[in-house]
This record gives sequence, structure tokens and C-alpha cells, in this order.
Amino acid sequence: MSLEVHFEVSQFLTREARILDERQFEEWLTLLAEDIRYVAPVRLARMPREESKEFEPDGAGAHFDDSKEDLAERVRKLATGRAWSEVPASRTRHLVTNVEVEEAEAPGTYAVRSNFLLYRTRGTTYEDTFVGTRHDVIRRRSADFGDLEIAARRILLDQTVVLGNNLSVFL
Amino acid sequence: MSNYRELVDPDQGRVSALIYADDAIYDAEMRNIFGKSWLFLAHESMLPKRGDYLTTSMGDDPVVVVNQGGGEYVAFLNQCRHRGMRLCRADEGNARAFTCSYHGWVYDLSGKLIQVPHEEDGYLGALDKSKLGAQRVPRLANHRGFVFGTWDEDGPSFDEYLGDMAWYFDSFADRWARTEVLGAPNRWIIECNWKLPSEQFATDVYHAETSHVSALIAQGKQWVDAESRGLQFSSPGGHGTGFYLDDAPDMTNYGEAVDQYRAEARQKEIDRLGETRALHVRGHNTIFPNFSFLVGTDTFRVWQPRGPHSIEVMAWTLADADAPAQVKDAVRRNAIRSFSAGGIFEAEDGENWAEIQQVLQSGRGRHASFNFTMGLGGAGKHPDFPGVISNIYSEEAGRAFYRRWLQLMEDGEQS
Repeated sequence: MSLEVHFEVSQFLTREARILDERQFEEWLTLLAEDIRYVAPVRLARMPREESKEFEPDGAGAHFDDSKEDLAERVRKLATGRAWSEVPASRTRHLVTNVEVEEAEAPGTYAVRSNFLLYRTRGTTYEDTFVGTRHDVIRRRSADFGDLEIAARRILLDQTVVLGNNLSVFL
Repeated sequence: MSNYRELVDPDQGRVSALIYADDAIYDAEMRNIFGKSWLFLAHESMLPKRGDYLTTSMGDDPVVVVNQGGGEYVAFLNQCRHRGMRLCRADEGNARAFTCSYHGWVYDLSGKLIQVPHEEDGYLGALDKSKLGAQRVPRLANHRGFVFGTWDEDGPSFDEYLGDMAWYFDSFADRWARTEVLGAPNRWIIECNWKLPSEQFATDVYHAETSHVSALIAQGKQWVDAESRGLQFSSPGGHGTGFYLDDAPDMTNYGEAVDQYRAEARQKEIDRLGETRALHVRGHNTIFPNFSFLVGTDTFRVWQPRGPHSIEVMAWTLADADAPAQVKDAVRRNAIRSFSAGGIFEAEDGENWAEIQQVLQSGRGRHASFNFTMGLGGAGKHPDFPGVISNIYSEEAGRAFYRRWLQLMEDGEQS
């Protein structure tokens, strides 16, 4: 992987994180491919012999299993100003690290892994910290620097029981 | 001893906020409510094979539920009889036996103690293993694949416990010939008292048009309008449900695959349940004390108490086991998109309950009185629906929930 592509993808993820933290959700949607799958499988505590089943497979337990339209629906919900779980809005900080970029099978696509820490606070004392890793498929739209889109996102949370009142945030 | 009658007066529609925020009341609830009620343990499809197990809880007591083979299930307290170590530390799996990781005591699939290290040279052969099985849940009942258990050895059978609620529960549990749970549960923590969600799912469709307005707008759907008629069922057992009488007022989008399948499956559902129940009894429900479900969205959940100020939600999706894979997938994705920690409807519920609980941290807030008077005196009989029936916009089922709560709490003080 060239230094330039690694830098380009890393900058793309950094920009995405900033857009989310600035609550520019409609702009965020423009970074997503029309055919995106945005999935966060449920995680289970398993005995060693069954560790391969730690994450639920496709089609089973998940916190999110969204298409682009589903994500757009979430954004429309937030835009009503009456999505009370985000009114007044959460203050969030998406910290994205440990970025690894590899060529994926299809030309112009990259298999990208990153770790995230999403800090969220609401009201005066309410805090959530969601931590995990993301396996993204990032696809090139054009030869222009940074003209990329997220074609798939698989979010692997570290918590089995989500330690928060809700997940009305994007990971 | 608390005077619960001073705190809760269902006949006048008055409930003290203290019952949601008091350590001593919570402790009494664990004995008097959760020690005496039938509690959801598992659905058969979660444990299809002999040796399949899962860990869950009854009230705040951790339990293991195990498939014994031959259609038999057993549940026991997840605690070693020696020093109290948690016996089974996985969420689910398949086992031949449960070995305590502290000193190696081994329990079989039914919770019997079968092997103890150093039995001869340590215990000098004097340990009576037959008296040291894991604490077994004495009574289990399997209602159409839903397995419930109770610690109460002498109370009513599960059918008696449900009473008229069985007819409404079956609109969910018996809608299809075979039902299947789609995957592991969504689990999350809400900083609220367990009664807030339980009572809401029993009695409260009233909140939807305000609390969930953003999700309804985002979906671009008219869910119900002022003309929509609906009914609420309430029960001396504390159970409740509310449903609309127009046809299939879904709050959520399923997509074409499901819409088409549902249209085809409709006649079969009518054959099983009768037209009235198949088409109309599709609403919000609580089986006392903490098992709730939504017919139509097909989510069901347990609000597991975790102290007076916290719950763990365990939520699953139920499907027609014989539906095509594409339909099951659409049902599953719809259910988690609308009702889970990330659900576009449920996020607002958690927000409401947690904010209520926060306010209860204050002295005046905790000693406030909550108003449960909606529809007071407006309940009666209905020719088509069993039990006590009122308009859907009513707190009759809430009053019945707290009437049952009061009865169990007072019974507990006398024993």
C-alpha cells in the first residue's frame, strides 16, 4: 500500500469523524455508497471452544443492520428537532486510530480497519464511551485525492451489554 | 415495614415516585414480586440441542437455563454451592457439564453436583453431594415455546397466572405454527427503575405521538390519527395490552418482501387466531412483572432489574419459523432498527425513563406523586375481547399493574 493511499484513506476517516462530531449528518450521508451495509453485530462472551462464534453472523443479532435508506431515515429523524434522545444534542468525539489499509479484491477498493473511541456526553453528568474496531470497505469514486466512499462498515463493539441508555449515534 | 398502601393508591390513580427510587422497596420487590411471579427464561429456539445453555436472570438473580434433551428444560441459580462463585461465565453455548472455575466442583446439565476434587482426602468422604446441587428453579412452564420459571413452589400455574392475558399473549406466541428467535439478544443498560418500561408496555400508547414523533416523521407515515379507535386490556394479574382496531397499523416499514408475505400469510393467521385477534390484537404488551412484547414489530424483551436505578434490557426478535429467509431478515432488521438500543423508536423511550430516574435523585422529585387517572372509571366488558376492557387511551392497565404490585408487596409483608 502506498504511503499516499494510506494518508488519503486516513484523512478521509478523520474528516468523517469531524463531520459526525459537528453533527453535519446530511453531509455524512454523502460519504456513504448507495449500496452501503452498516452493521454492528451483537457480541457474546463465549467459552474458548466456541470463541469463533463470539460475534453474531450475518442475519442474526445486531445493534445495527442498515442500508443507506435506513441511515437516511435516522438522519431525517435527527433533523426533525424532535428526536428527544438527541435534544439537546449529545456532544460527541470520535477518535479514530490504528488505521490499516489494504487493497481489496475489487479494483479501486480498500479493506480498511480502524479502532474508534466514541465519547458522548449529554446533560450535565451523562457519559457514554463506546469503543471498538471497524472493518470498512472504502471505494474510490474518482482519481481526485480524497474522493472516496464507504461501501461497507462492520462495527465490532467491545461491549457485549451496551453500557448506555441508547445508541442514537453513528459509530 | 413500609406502608405500601400510602405510597400506591391504584383506585385513586396515585403512585408515589418513591417506589421507583428506594433501596428498601427494591429489596422487598426482589422477594415479593420477583420471588413470587412467573418470569421469562428462554424461547425453545434459543436452545435447540441437548446441552445448549444460556445465562440470564430472574429479577436480579443470575440463572443458567439448560436444554436437558427430550423437550425438558432446567434453570438453576448461577452460583456454586461451595463459595458462591459464578458457575457459568459465558452468555450461551453448549456444555456437557458445568465446572466451577474456583475449586473445580462439577455440576451436571440439571445442576446436580456430581464431582468434587479431594472428596476423600479433603472432605474425608463426608460430603453429601446429593444435598449440594445448584439451587434449582422449582417450577418451569413452556407456553408455545416460551419457557417461564418461578421460585414460588405453591403459587398458581402459569396458565392461571396469565388468566385472560393468555388470549392476548397467543396473538404473539401462537400467530404461527412454529416460531423462531432470530439471533442473540440486544442487551443494554438503561439507568431507570424496572417498573417504568414494564408499566409503559402494559398501559401506554399515549406517549407514542409525542415521544416518537421524530421517528414517525422520518418514516413519512401516518401511523394513527385522531379517528383511530383502540382498546386496552387490563388484568388482575397486572398484565396489560393496548391495540388499535383498524387494520394493521404498523409503526414501522418492513419493505415489499414482508408486505407481500404478510398479505399471503394473513388468512393462515386468521385461521389460527380468529379474525378479531389476528387483525386487531397487534399492540404493546406486558406480562407482569417485566416481560414485554410488541405484536407486529415482533420484538420481545425482559427488563431485568439491576438495583432501583438501573435495568438491563434483553431484547429479541420473533419470527414465523416457516417464513422465507428474506422475510425473516427484513423482520429482524426492522425490529432492531425500530426497537433496540439503536432503535429509532426505542432511543426516546430510554431517554424518557433515564431522565425520570435522574429527577428522582432529588428530594422533592422522589416524594412527588405521579398521576395515573386517565380513564378512571371507564373500564368494562366487551363482547369480543376477554377481560377488563377500556379505551386504548387509558391508564387502567397501569392501575391494574400497581394493584397487583401492591397486593404482592403486602402479601410479602405478612408472610
